[in-house]
Amino acid sequence: MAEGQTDGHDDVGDAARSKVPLEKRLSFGSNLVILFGFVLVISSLLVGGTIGAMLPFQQAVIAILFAGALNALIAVLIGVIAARSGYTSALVYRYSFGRLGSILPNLVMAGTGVVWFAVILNITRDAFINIFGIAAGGAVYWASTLVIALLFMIPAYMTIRWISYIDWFAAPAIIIIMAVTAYFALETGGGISGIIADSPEASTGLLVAFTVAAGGWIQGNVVISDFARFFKNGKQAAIALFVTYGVLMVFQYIGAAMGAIATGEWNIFLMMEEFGLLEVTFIALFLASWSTSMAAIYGSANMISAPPIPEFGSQERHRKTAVLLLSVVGLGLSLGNAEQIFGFILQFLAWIIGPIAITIIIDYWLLPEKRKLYELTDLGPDSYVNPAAYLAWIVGFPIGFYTQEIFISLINGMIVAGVIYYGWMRFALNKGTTPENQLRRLLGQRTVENPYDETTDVKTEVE
Amino acid sequence: MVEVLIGSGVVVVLAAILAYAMFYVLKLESERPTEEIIPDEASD
Repeated sequence: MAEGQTDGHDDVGDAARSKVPLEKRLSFGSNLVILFGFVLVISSLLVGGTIGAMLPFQQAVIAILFAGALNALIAVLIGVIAARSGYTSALVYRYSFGRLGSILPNLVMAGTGVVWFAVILNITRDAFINIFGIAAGGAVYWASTLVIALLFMIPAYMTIRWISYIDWFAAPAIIIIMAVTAYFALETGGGISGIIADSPEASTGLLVAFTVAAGGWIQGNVVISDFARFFKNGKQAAIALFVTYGVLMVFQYIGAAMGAIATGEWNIFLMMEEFGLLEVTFIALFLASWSTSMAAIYGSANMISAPPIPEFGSQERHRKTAVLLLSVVGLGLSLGNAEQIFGFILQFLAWIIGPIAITIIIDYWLLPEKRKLYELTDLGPDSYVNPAAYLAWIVGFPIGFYTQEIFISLINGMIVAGVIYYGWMRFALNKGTTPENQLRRLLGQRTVENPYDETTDVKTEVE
Repeated sequence: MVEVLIGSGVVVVLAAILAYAMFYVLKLESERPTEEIIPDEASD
């Protein structure tokens, strides 16, 4: 069977291993609601609260605007690739990292998504047991953890449409929470001038906070293809992503930052408790947690449902098995109480994922020769493993980690990774070859002209 | 103070890049051959 085709009788579901077929694309309205649900999530409120707790209000706003601009930029540039190609994130990564090499970003993104699942699970469970006075460590405590994890997992196990069903309720719930947080923050804090006057001394540098703020959404950005590929064209995707990341997310961050300053708490559940509203708002907060965690586990499952990981049964059966497996891993990780180092986790996400984001963006947008490979069904990735992408990540990740006190560590890592990737790719493409073949020649190995492999390659549904 | 100035400058630069990226992407899509555009009534 030629690349880009199936027999047309596959159990397709959400088409995790193929270009999303025409009949499965959604309207602009449905996609916008899914994106609103994706962005209107508990994690945005937690990140906003974290920024509000570490900086004076004016500086917090600058950090939040940085996060909004950077995340909107990354989301638009990656999301439009997905809308134009129809590929999931994992399939998009193959073009820059290589057919086998895409295992690196796949595992990084799957792992970080599961960390999000575990963090949200713990924060939600802790608020739940707090309301009902359940003792930590007892049978009811563990049963609560398990039931919440199951609820979080079920929509991701079904299909993207189930996620949108939850989001129809979760998105308005978050808007209510935002309004409540802002209202009570202003009332408790004595208006904007009171919040500015009472805001904390900076406990960290502004440029360090930039990485924390942007790190909160970088994982969601690099898996945005899993959602943006359901748009009918790139124009719709660009507009919707700009609105959600550039506007909506910024308002959430600012609302949560105000709440953090007024209450001294970064955790939105604890903010509501300080306002005396936890019981009243718990259902809305739970819906918000639900939309975050199901999207995280859905995206992570797509990561390990794509080549080069061999298909298990049909592509939809494989994806569902991946959801179950990763939910179990997330449940295990929840034992680690990762939420206690939330600020560090946000920076870590930025350092580890930033270089991957810039590599994908450069590959499609700054290397026009490669763009046709994404869009034509009879072509595929031109490498097994792209050493340029690996070198960019191997250098970019530690550069971010070790330059925490110099400029903006996230940007440092992305710039270094971007320069390495673009430089090597441009050098190779100008010579009509690939970095992999350059390396193979150097090592005296046979070069690869068409690395298509029928057993592990992607499929395109027959229309 | 220096950090605030640098930070504000970075935000302005990023906003300008974002505006250019939006302009470029929308222009690119408007130039796309019509047969590659999925009509809005095609599905859903």
